[in-house]
Amino acid sequence: MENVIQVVNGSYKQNTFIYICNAPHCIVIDPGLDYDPIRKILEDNNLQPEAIFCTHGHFDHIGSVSKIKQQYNSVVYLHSKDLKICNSSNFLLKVLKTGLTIETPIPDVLISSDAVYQIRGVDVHVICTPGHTPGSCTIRIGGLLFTGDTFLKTENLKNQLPGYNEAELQNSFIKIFTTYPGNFMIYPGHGKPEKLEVIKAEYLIAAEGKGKVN
Amino acid sequence: MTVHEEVEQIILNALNTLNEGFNDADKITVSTDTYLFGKKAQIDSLSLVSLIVELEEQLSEKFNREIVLTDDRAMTREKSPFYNVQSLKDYVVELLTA
Repeated sequence: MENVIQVVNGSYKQNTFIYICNAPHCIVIDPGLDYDPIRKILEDNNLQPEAIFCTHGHFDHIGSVSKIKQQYNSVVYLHSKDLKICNSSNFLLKVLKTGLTIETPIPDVLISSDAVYQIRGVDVHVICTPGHTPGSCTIRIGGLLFTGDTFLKTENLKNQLPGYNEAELQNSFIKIFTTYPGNFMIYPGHGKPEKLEVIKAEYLIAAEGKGKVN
Repeated sequence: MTVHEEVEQIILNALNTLNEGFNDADKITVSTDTYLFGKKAQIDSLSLVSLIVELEEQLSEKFNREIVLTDDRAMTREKSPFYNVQSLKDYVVELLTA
């Protein structure tokens, strides 16, 4: 079995990632709005989520947090600056006319700066990468970077929600591009995993078009 | 000025500011009857989100306490506080006097 299992959630096509630390122990990153497919994978593989890491507080990344926590008693990690966004989930779901509601999660660990947590012998690095939201984080495990919506296309609806900050996002791009080698894998919140060097090349082309790179 | 009047003024000011950013074709008439949410809504979803977040900041500053309009308390009410300016005002006053 691969160390990383990707589950694509419903209408927002949001990625939930399950990282197997040391079977049956695992970490769930961004459990989205659809609990059933996540539950099925956990049950089929007899996995026990020790921790849930939320890259940010948008509803499509935290929709199933409460259900997993209740089922497995997992520890939930979220940046403190995204707590308000997290608590606004049902408001956003309502005004965006999704017809959905979630059980708003209560994080156990509020992240405030870059940190490393050891989960069943695995070092889980939390790197603050604000911009998409004030509390957006990238989760690094070895050479894998779970970036949430940091690399989401600028024109995406969720980049028009309050809390988005273009300048901070640019700094986060630079932080990632200058800190990690090109062969690291990016596991984004939406879309397919890709090598960092490919994401970086796309970014540079886009930035050149906008006149941000000399 | 009463709390009701102060809250109403803050909401109308925020709505007027939002309105200034609209194209001429999208501009709305701002009053206590302006519909914010539901079938009669005169502003779109993202504008409502922006308005509410702006109001949370302004109200918190004005009344020197954290005012949260978007948590599950608001969402579990039978009638949405965001239906129109009047219902929003009533909800804010209720939070302030609770």
